[in-house]
Amino acid sequence: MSTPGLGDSGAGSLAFDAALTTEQLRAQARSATPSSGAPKVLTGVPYIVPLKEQCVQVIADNFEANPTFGALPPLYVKKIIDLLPLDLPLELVGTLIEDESYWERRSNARWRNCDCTPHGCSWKQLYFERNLEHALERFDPATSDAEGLQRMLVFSKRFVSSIRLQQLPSHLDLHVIFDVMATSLTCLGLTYGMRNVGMDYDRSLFGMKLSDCRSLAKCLERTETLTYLDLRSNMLDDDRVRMVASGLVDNLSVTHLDLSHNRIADRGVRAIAKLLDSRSVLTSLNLSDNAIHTEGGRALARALRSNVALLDLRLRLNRLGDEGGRAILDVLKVNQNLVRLNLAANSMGAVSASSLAAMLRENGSLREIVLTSNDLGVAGEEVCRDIRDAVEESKSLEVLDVRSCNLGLEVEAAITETLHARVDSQEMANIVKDARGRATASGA
Amino acid sequence: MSAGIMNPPQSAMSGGGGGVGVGAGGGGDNLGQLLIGGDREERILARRKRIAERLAVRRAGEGGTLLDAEEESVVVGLGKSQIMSSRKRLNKTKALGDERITGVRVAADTRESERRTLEETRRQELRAKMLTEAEASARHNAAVAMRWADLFSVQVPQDLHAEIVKQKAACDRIIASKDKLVGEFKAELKLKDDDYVRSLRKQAEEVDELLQLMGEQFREMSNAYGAEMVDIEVSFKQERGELLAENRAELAALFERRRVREQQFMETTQERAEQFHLQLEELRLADAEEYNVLKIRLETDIQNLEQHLEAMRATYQLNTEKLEYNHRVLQERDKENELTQQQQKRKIARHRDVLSNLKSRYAELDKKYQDDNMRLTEEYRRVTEQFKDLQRKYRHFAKADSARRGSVRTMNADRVASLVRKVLQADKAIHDQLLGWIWQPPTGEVFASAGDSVTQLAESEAAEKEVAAAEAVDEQLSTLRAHQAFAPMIALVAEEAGFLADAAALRELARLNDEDAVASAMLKASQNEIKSDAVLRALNVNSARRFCALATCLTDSPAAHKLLGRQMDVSELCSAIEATGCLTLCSPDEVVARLMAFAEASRGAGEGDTGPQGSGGVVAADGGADGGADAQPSSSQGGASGGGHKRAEERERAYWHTAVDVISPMGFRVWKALEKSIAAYMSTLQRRSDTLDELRSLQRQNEELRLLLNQYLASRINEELRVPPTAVI
Repeated sequence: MSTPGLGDSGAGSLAFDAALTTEQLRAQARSATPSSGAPKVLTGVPYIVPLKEQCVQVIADNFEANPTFGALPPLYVKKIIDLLPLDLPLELVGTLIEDESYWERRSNARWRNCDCTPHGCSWKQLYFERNLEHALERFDPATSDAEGLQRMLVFSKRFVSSIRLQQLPSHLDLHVIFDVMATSLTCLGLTYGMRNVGMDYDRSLFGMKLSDCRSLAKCLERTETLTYLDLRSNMLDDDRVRMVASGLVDNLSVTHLDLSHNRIADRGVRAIAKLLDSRSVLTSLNLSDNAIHTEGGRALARALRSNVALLDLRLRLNRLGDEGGRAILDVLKVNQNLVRLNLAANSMGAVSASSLAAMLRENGSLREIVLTSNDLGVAGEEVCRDIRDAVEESKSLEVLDVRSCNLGLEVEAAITETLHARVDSQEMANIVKDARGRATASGA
Repeated sequence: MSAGIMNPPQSAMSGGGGGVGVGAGGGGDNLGQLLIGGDREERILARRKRIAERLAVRRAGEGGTLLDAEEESVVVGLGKSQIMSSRKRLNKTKALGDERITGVRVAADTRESERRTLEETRRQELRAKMLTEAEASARHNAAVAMRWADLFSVQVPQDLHAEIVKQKAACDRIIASKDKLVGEFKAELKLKDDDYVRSLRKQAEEVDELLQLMGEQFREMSNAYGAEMVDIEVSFKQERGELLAENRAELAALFERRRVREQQFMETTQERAEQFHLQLEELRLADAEEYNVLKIRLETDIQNLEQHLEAMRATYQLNTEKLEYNHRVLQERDKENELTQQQQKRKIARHRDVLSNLKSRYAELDKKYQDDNMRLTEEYRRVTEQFKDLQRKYRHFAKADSARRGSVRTMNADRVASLVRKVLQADKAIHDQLLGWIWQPPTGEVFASAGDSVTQLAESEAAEKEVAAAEAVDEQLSTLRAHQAFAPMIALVAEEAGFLADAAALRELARLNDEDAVASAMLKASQNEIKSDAVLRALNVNSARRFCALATCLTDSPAAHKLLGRQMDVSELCSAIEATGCLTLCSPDEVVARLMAFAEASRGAGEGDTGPQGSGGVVAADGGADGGADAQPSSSQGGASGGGHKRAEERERAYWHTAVDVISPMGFRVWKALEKSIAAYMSTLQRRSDTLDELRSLQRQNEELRLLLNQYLASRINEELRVPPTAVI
C-alpha cells in the first residue's frame, strides 16, 4: 500500500488508496463504535472533521480493546499514537509502540526532570526503568503483590538495562531481580536508604544488612552482563564488603565498582585489593569517603603493582596518611595504566610530596591527579619547586589539582598554567590538523 | 562546562554524606574563606599575568614559534584563528569558574578532613579518659568490695554505721566520677548535636553558594560564549568579506584577461580568414585546371576499363561455363563416390561380420587346440613314459640278448672253429690231393683271439679306459700342436690335405674370408688354425701318441723316429725335437700318399692303440666332403659311451670275418676254378654214365623187342592171316 503517494500521486491511485483505507477504517470503526458510544458532536463549528481523522480518533480511543494498527500506513500510525491515552497498560503498549514521542509524553506526564541520556537516550527505556525502580522502591512484602512485581520484571526485562535504587526498605532478596534479568541487566545502583524520613529517623532504616550482602554476592557470581555496580552510602563495614567482594571474585563482567560513602576500613580494602589481580577487569574503582588507613593504602598499592585494567581510582576523603599515599604514588612508577587518580583529603604530607614528584617524571599514563586538601607543603620550598618542574617534565598529565595543599600560590599557578597551556596547545594542534585535513581534502 | 556543572551536585552529595552527624567549623568561616578566596584570586590573576609575560618574552626570544603561529593563522584562516583564541579564552574562563565551584568542595573536604583528625584525637582522648576512669573505678570497687568483708568483723553497730557511711561515701565517689564522665560525654554529645546542626546549616549555605556560583558561571559562560560567538561571527564575516572582495577582484581580472584575449583572437581570426580566402581562390583556379585534365584522363581511362570489362566479362562467362561443367562432373563423381562409399561400408559390415565369425571360430578352435594340446601333452607324457619303459625293456632285452648272443656265440664259435678246421682240412686236402700244391696254413693268431671271449671283454674294458684317458691326453696334444717345432708340419698337412676339412670348417673359412679380407695376416693364421684343426680331426689325430705317429709318418729322419717312438713327457719331447732340429719333413708331393698310408695303417691296425675308431674315422675321412658333418659327432662324441661296445662288435665282426675269410680269395678262386673243372668233369662223367645207361636201356629194349617179334612171329595168328607178315618180310 503506497502511503506517501496519498498527497501527490495520480488521481486514480489516490482514489483507490482512499477507498481502501476508508473501507478498512470503517470496518474498524464499526467494531469500535458500540464500546465508545455515540460519536462526539461538534456543535457550532462549520468545519466538518474529515472521516479519516474521525477514524483515527476512534482507533486511538479504543486502542485498549483493539490493540493493533493493522496494515495502516505509518502516517496514520503516528497520528494514532499521538492521540493515545497515557494510562494504557504497559504490558500492552510495551511491545506495540516503539514511537519515542509517546514515551516522552508519558514520562514527562509522570515525573518531573526527565533526562533520557543516562537511559541510553531512549524515552521508552527511561519509562520502563523508572517505572521498575519506582515499583521496587515502593515494594512492601506485607501489602504489595509479589506476583505483580514478578510479572512486571518479566515484561520489563526486554527494555530495562539499568536499575538505580535509592531505597529498598523491603530488603528484597536480589535473586528476584537477577533470576529474571541475569542476562539483560548491565547497571545496578543500590542504596539502602530512606528518603523523606523526617522525624521518623531510625538508624536501622539505613544501610545494607549482611543477608543483603550475601544475596548480592550470590547474584554477582551468576550474572554475566552486569558491568556497573554502585553501592554507595550503604554503611558497608569490613565484613559486609568482604561478603560482596567474595561474590566479585569469580565475576568477570563488572568494570565499574562504586563503594563510596561507606565505612570500609583496612580489612575490607584488603579484600577489594584481592579483586585487583592481574586477571581483573575492573576499570573504575571508587572508594571515596571511607575509613581506609595506611595499611589499606599499602594493600591497594600492592594490588596495583600487577594490575593492568584499572583506569580510574578514587580515594577521596580517607585516612591514608603520609605512608599510604606514598605507597600508592610510588607504585604508579611501575603501573602505567591508571589514567585518573583522586587522593584528595587523605592527610598526606612531605614524604608523599617527594614521591609525587618522582612519580610524575616516570609515569606515562596518568592524565588527571587530584590531591587537594593534603598538606604537601610541609616538605619545604624545594620539594614544591621540584613538583612544579616534574609537572613540566611529565608526559601525559593534563590536570593536577593541588589546591589547599600549601604548596605556595606561585607553584600552584605555575602548575595550572603549564597544564592549561598544554591542553590548549593540544586543542589548537587538533584544530589546525583538522583544518589542514579539510583543506587538503577540498584541494584534492 | 559540563564538568563544572556535573561536579557541584557530587560534591554536595558527598558533603551531605560526610556531613551526617558532623559539627562543622561554623558559618563565619565561610565568609572569611570567600574573602580570602577573593584576595587570592586577585593575587592569582596578578601572578598569571606575570607568568604570561614571562612566557611571551621567552617566545619572542625564540622567534620561530611566533612565526609558526602566524603561519598557522594564515593557513587556518581568520575565523579559525578567532575560534582558537576564543576557545582559549573560554577554556580559561571555564577553568576559572570550575575552580571556583570545585573550591567549595575542596574547602568542604579540607574542613571535613580536619574535623575528622580532630575528632579522632578527641575520641582517643575520650577513650583514654574513659579507660582511666574505668580503671580507677574498678580499683575503687575492689577496695569497696574488700571493705565489705571487713564489715562482718565489726560488731559494734555505731562502728558498723560509721563504716557503712564510709563505704557509701566511697561508692558515691565512684558514682560521682562516673557521673562526671557521663556528663562529659553528654556535653560532648550536645556539642556534636550542635555541630551537626551547624554543619547542616553550613551545608545548606554551601549548597546555596554552589547554586549561586553555578548560576554565575552559567551566566558568565553564556555571556562569554555569546561574546565569543559574536567575535567569531564578526571575524568569519570579515574573512568572508575579504574572501569575497578577493574573489571578486580575481574574477574581474580574469574577465579582463578574457576580454583582451577575445579581442586578440577576433583580430587574428579575421586576418587568417582573409588569408585563407586568398589561398582558397588560388587553389580553386588551380584545381579547376587540374580537374579538366583529370576529367579527360579519367574518361579515357573509363573507356579503356569498359573495354577491359567487356573482355573480362566474356572470360568470366567462359570460366563460369567451364566451372559449371566441372561442377556437374564433380557432382557426378560425388554421387559415384557415395555409391562406392556405401558399397565399401556394406563390405566393411560384411567383413566385420566375417571377422566376428572368424573370431568366434578362432576362439573355438583355440579352445579346441588347447584341449588337444592338453590331450597331446598328456599323451606325450604317457608315450614318454612308455618310451622310457620301452628303453628300460630294451636295455633289459639288450642285456638278455647279449647274454644269449654270448652263449650262442660261444656255442657257434666252437662249431665255427670246427667247421673252419674242417674247411682248412678240406683246403689242405684239396691243396694236397686235388691240386698237388703245398698248403700254407693261415696265421693261427686269429683263432687264438677269436677263441677266447673273456680276453675280448677285458680288452674292450681297457679300450674304454683308454678313451677316458684320451681326454687327458688331449691336453698333451694341444701343447704339442701349439709348439713351435711342429708348426711347419701342421702347416704342411693343412695345405696339402685341405680336402680333408669338413663342411663346417669350410663354411667357417668362407665366413672369415668375407668378414675381414683386410686383416690378412691374422686371417691367414686363423684360417690355417681352423684348417689344420679340421684336417687333424679328419685324420683322427686325437691323442699325443697319434700325433707322434703322424709326425713319424711324415718324417724321414731316423733320429726323429727314435725320438718320437720313445715314451716321454710332451714338453720334454718338444724341447728335444727343437734342440735337435731333426724334424725334417718329406716333400709335399709325398704327403698325400703318406697320409693315406697313415690312415690305412691306423684303420688297418687291429692292434690296440688305434682301435675300431680309426676305421670309422677313416671311413668318415673318405666320405669327407659331404659326410663330414655326420662323421664329426660319430668320431668325437661316440668315443666315451658307445666306444667299448662298438669296438667289441668290430672285433667280433673282424673275428667272424677272419673266420669267413679263412680261405683267402685266391684260395676261393682256386676252389671255384677247381669246382668248375670238377663240375665239368663230373658233367662229362655224368654224360658218359647217362649214355651208358641209355645204351644199356637200348640193349634191353632191343632184347625185349626181339623177344616180342619172335613171339609175334611165332603166334598162330600168322597162320590164319591171308598174307602173313612173315611172308612179307
